[in-house]
Amino acid sequence: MNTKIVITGLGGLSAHGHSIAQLAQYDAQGMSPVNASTPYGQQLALQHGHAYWALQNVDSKATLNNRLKKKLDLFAVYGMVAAQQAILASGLPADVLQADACGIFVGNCLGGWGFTEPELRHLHQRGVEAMSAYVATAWFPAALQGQISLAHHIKGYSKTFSASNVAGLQALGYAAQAIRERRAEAIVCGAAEDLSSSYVQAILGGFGQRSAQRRQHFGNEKKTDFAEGAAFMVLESYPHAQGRGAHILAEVAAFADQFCASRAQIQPALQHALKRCVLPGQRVLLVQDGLLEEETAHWQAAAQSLGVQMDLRDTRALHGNMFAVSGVLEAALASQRLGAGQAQGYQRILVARLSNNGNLSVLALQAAPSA
Amino acid sequence: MENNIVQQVKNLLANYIDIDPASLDMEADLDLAYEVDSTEMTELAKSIENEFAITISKFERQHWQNGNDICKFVQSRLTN
Repeated sequence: MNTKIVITGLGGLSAHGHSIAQLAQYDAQGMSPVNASTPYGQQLALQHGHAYWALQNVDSKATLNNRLKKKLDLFAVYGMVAAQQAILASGLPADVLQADACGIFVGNCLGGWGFTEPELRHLHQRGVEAMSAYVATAWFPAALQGQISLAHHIKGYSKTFSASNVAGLQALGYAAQAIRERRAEAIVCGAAEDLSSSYVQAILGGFGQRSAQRRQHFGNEKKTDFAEGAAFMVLESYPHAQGRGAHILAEVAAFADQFCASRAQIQPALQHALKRCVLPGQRVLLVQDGLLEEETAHWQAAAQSLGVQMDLRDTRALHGNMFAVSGVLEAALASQRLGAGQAQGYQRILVARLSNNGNLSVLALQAAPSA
Repeated sequence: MENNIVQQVKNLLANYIDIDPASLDMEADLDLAYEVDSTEMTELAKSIENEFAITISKFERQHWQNGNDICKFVQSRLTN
């Protein structure tokens, strides 16, 4: 079965924009931020010269009320805002959302420490009675999936992924696979992260200090600003989207998810991913975050060995290290460009993420199928 | 003092439920009218403990049906 999978709605927020349109405008400039403050966020200092881009002034009133907000971590709030943007943009009607054939796939790595950290302080200082009853449901990475499900009455096939900065792309790729396998007709998928807790900031400030002890499949990690945010999209089977007259932005052409257990497996894994995501003779753009020193060289070597015409775009300076959101935001922006007919001669845009643990995910996007 | 307690409890409840204090019906059943579930009641009791510097056991709060029940409980606790 070869069902085409299409993208019909996008949503996103970061310190550089609170909608996909604003983020696309920022992304199109192709320049790293000039000022340390924007209407949407600000750059804050961490230990050892690190910095992170914090969201500010996020308007969540149209998405959730204060009563619910008090029970949630900010990562779930950001995710719900971005997911709602994507759902509204897709025009998915309520009866489709609420049918068993609509699911939710989410990526999240850091969980809800902003909510949990003060509660742990209460536990140690005043005892378990002083802790909020909502710690468990606010902290765990699948909290966002659950809240989107409750808010939109979505009850179909759903998953949450937590795997460093490839988790978001895995959420998109496996959502596409689930639709292809007819487990769902539509899936709301994306990722969210909040970096505001002092616990998370202490860890981020120590980045690089411990890297010598970690696996280094793709070289040292470059010093990069961290950034919080969320990005979501709605994927649908092409017949489903076409049947309801949806505006189709782009098509998910292929997905590859690999694991390199050792450095010797890097080239075979990268080449396998490229073979899966690029058809012979196609000219493609590969969008990477460029966090790891050797990733460009590895991708270039893989493309060269297969004769793939591939240009590389590095979004590190633009979007920073967004953990699970990394890749989802770039995929959303690529879909926006493809939908606007701005593919600049590339037949496909590949969004790729690597982690030093050996994870590798690539999502291939192309222009919407012609009716 | 009694009026103050009523107003404080009303504000706490309205803030928790996220409605205007003027529209809160202190006679209305918290579960049926405002969908306050048992977990929310636990959180609410914690806010009341902090506001009035009192302790509230699970047994004591299980009799709360509406806002006025909470006011009566707080008043009795503060006068005893």
